[in-house]
Amino acid sequence: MDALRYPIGPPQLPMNPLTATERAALIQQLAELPAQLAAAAERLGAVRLQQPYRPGGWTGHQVIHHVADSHLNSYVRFKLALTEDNPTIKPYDEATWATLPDVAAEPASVSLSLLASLHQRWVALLQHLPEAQWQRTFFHPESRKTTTLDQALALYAWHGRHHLAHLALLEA
Amino acid sequence: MASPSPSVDDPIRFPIGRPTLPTAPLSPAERATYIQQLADLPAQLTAATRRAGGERLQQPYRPGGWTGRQVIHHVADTHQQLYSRFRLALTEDNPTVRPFDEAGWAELPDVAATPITVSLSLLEALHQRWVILLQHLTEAQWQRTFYHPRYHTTLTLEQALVQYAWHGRHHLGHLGLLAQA
Repeated sequence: MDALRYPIGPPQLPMNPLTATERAALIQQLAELPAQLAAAAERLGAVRLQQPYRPGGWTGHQVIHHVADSHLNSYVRFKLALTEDNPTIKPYDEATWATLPDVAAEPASVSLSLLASLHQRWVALLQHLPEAQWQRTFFHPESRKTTTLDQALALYAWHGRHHLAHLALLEA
Repeated sequence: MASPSPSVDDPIRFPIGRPTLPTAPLSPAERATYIQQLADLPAQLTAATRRAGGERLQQPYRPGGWTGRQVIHHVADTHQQLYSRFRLALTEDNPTVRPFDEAGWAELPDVAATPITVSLSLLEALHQRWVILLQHLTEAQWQRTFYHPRYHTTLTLEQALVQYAWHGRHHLGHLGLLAQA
């Protein structure tokens, strides 16, 4: 595995239901992410955010907008799974989304603000889920995988920390 | 999004009426007007919630309707999806978008547990990204389309712009009813 591309390694998805303590730790990671990303962006400053975190990789600026795009979609996947039975979710082309014109034109601060609000709603949703709801699922039509909400929680907590580590590479 | 309803022009449910979707391409000036409506919406929603005040936001805007609070969280939920539909249409050919159970979503626990200020801030940031995206679209991109499987309709991005600018003003109209109550 490429250490620059995967600075914290790949995600480890739980095969069994998580304990309440394990869930709380992962929810806390989601709760802390927006402030951690904002702090990293502040330390980097606008000029270094325009540099790729690895040769051929996204710039720090693109990483931040990508996390906002991705987490909007993942919050939606949770809500679909809570209101429909094993819904098929809509994948999106994350590489092309990162090149749409709002990504280049918009300061990172807008997506950081979006993430701060979004994660407040997402964390409130997760904190109020009854035990049985964590085994609800959604289906991804491209990977053909069915994911429980426990697994999705582990995946997206990883996803946030994964991109936070890319910003740390830019700081190094 | 408005669902087809037998009481079509109930003035409380549809305080600004129904949207009229364009059947011919819009001029840049017409598009700019609708984009401005989207740009203005978050501040207008914030102002309307201040005028209505905390207690009235807990009340339904019509008998059996959503509370003001649910309306605000619903606009935040929906506009996330609508923004994504633009991005999908710009990166795929006539993608089929994902409908969602808006009534079920309004009952999820974060709606009751999160202050409306969170969704108002979310809308402010989201609309900034959405408006910048719209301001950078080329003439040809406005004719790109997506397919909505629930309504069996294909919309151009211009038609979607008109529909979604209406959607924001439609719910702003509901908050206006609460502020007058």
